[in-house]
Amino acid sequence: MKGFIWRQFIKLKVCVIGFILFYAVTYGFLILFIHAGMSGFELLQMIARFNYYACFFLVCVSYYYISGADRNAVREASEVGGHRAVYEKSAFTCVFVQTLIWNLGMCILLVICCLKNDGTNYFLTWFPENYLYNIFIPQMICLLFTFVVCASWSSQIWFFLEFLFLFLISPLSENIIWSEKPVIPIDIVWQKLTWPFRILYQNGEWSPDYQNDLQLEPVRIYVLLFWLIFLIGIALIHIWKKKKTGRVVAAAAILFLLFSYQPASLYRLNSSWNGQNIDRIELNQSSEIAVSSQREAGFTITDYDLELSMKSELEVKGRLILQSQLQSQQFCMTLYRGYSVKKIESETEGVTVTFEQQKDNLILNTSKPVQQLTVLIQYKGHHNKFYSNVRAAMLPGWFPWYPMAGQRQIMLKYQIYGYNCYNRIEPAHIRIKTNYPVITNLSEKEINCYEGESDSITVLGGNIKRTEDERIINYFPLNLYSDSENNYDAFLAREKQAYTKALDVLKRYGVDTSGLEQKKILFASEDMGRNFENNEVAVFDQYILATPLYINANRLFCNMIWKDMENQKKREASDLILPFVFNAFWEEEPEEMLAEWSNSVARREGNLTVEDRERFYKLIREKNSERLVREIVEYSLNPENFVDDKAFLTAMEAIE
Amino acid sequence: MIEIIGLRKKYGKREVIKSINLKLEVDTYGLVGPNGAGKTTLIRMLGGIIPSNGGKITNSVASGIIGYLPQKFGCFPELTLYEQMEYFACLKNVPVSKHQEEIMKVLKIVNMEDRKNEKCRKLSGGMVRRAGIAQALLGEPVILLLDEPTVGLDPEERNNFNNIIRRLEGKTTILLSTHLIEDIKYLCQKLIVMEEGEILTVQDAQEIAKAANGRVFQIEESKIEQLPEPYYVERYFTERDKKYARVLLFGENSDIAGGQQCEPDIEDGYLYFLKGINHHE
Repeated sequence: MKGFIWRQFIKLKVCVIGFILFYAVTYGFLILFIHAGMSGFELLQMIARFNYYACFFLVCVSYYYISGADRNAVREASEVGGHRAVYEKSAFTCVFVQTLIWNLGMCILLVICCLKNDGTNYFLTWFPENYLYNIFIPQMICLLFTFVVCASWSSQIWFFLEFLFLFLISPLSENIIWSEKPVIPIDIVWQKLTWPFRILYQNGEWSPDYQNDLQLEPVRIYVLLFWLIFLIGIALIHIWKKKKTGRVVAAAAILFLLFSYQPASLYRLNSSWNGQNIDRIELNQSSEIAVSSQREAGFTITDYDLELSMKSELEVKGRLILQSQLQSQQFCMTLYRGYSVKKIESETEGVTVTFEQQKDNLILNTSKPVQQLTVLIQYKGHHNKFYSNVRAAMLPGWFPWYPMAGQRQIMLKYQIYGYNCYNRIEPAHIRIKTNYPVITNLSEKEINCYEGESDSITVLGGNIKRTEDERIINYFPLNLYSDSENNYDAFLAREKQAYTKALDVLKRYGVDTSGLEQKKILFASEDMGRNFENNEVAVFDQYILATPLYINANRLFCNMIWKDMENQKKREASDLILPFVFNAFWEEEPEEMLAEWSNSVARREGNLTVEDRERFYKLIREKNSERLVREIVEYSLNPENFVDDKAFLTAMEAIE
Repeated sequence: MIEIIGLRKKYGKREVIKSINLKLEVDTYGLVGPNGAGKTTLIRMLGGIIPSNGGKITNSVASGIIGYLPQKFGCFPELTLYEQMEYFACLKNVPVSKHQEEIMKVLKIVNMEDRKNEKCRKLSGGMVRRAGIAQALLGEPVILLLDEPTVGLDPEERNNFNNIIRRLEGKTTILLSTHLIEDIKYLCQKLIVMEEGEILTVQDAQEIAKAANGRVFQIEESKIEQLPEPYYVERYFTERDKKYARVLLFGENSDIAGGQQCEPDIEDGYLYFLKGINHHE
């Protein structure tokens, strides 16, 4: 029978031509991209992105082939003697083998790509799992779905079900989102109903995060397992007529589906109002757009001893020691609202504690005034952008994923919205224990135990490795290439050079860089700052947290500027400051910097009169360039020194 | 012999086959009954296409090869006739070394050996039907199940088909499901009458006909009302410009005014059991 099925398949021109084209087009493009220098990670993500079309093709061809017996009225005669779905099983095997061969070929090409283009061999051990769950298993689900429906029900019902299935797993369905919160929660209903159909890689139009995996969160794996087991259960019931076994299997599958609905840290780049944009929308609707980043707390947290368990989401258990200047019965902290506090218990003798969470505020009330309070805290949750699960973690130290004393702003409005990267705690003794190795600003004392004194706790996990360098702490193995400009050594050299050069340039123009010197550099992937402003670089007491290629004078300078929220409105009102801040190429000579500044001012429709613009251009022409740059740098940092732009121009006209 | 004991089938709460008991010898059986009687369901259960909800079938069917021609039968258009037969030979576990011999044997029986290399898409409806018989005969089946085999065939093809079945008489058990009395008259030695999932009777075809003895009359249409009730009008016909009715009386009566007693045929006997006249007495 097996040999016969293959001979019959070869006679079906539609199927043969289809598969030949499928192999040719996919392999051809892959070879092209390998030749063009794509990394293994980029190539795999691209395959994942377009896997829906591969699945669509496989569903169409497999339906046509597997339903052949039913369409041609051969099925009933084939099944005599109790040989249920005998043709369909053989036909499915035939399509399965071809799909398997195609996938093996893809894997071989990916390995070749890695060996040729990647800067490390990390991809070779990393990609099998990502390939399995993003490419192979979704294809198997589609094939199984087609097989089960073809072999079980009438072709009319099949067509409807298959059409519905293909639509629900499609990128089109994925893009049905609500960017504003609807009055009736229809979006939540839609999200819940379509969640089981998110078997494919989502949001593929965005470049991927090389620190994270390709969406291998446990809840997504549960969805995939649900489908595999559920379809096998259906097949047992309808095809093999083993109803009891089939029902048990189907019930087990339902369990996986239920598990998949648990709260989870997922990183999905869509513009849904309750996705990665939720904080921006929340801030937009509130009255506090730009305020000082921190309100006076009246106490500090001197000790953090936390155990982090990152599985489906972040779970933290630990101890905090709070030290107040005065006796106090209330302690206000900030903990992002996405983390729900389960319990807080006092360890201070004779003192009990109650707490309440109001959005991002965590308020502790004690039974009597205390100056020092030790509490055990337990909380769990996640953030839609700063992910924390068993695959990866991006928890910047300026983000209140851990309790911070005082009331803090989560997000600010710079030119556009961005997270408040200025949140710092008073230097505290910090000890954390994680369930897998991470990169952090603390020192590793034991396996997965990190300790130190710092003004923050940054935790980074995923496809991230420690360097052996003293300045640069970590790198991303999936983001290195084999060529001499993008390999490991080049990466270290480039970033260290960029750091040194940035400091030199800033010093040249009179910026006080004492707060930037001699710091270690922790890198998070570019997704730390994706779609938001001023989040690519942050300066802490002992380290700089940045994304690769973003350590430069301009970024560091902007970071200094935005910290000064009090003078933000004055800077925005100035027609000179922001055009300089956002357009100056600090690596260039001062003449080029001024030229670019001049062009930016010319394009800006501001309050400067024609006369004042002429004064400005005259300054550019006549004054010492380096001196002028120094002056505008100073004006940008301290706009309060001048009443307005006119006063600045007048002062500049007086310099030599 | 093939024995069926207490065979039952339910779809939900609806019982479509109600505990059937049957013994089938090497003979040609006609399975007759109105639409919805359960004929196709019974045949499918015998063929193992659908499972039963109770009862059993003797080992000779369970272990032996079954030949089955369903009501709707077709071929893969891309295959030749020989390849199509080969497909079924594979399914019936006919040894590969015997494929050619077996396939040519059955194609000869159905007079299609000269078309073995023709693509199935070029075969007419009647030829496809004959190909269906051929595949059913592969492997020397212990029982041949034919479900409405002549529906849609033109008279010539039907004749061809009937001749093939006649040639198989006495070689294997044949169960032929039909509601065309012409097929029964020509082919079947025995009749199984079914209605609403139950077997009303199993008898020789001639015995079935004789059961309606003394009850079949031909009478002028205008005199029908004179007949003693109850009765059943089988059909109307015109003879020598007069309209007549062939009538089946529920009660036995040797003399009807204005009517002429007729020799009963299989159809009369079939209706005798179908209308429950045997219980009316």
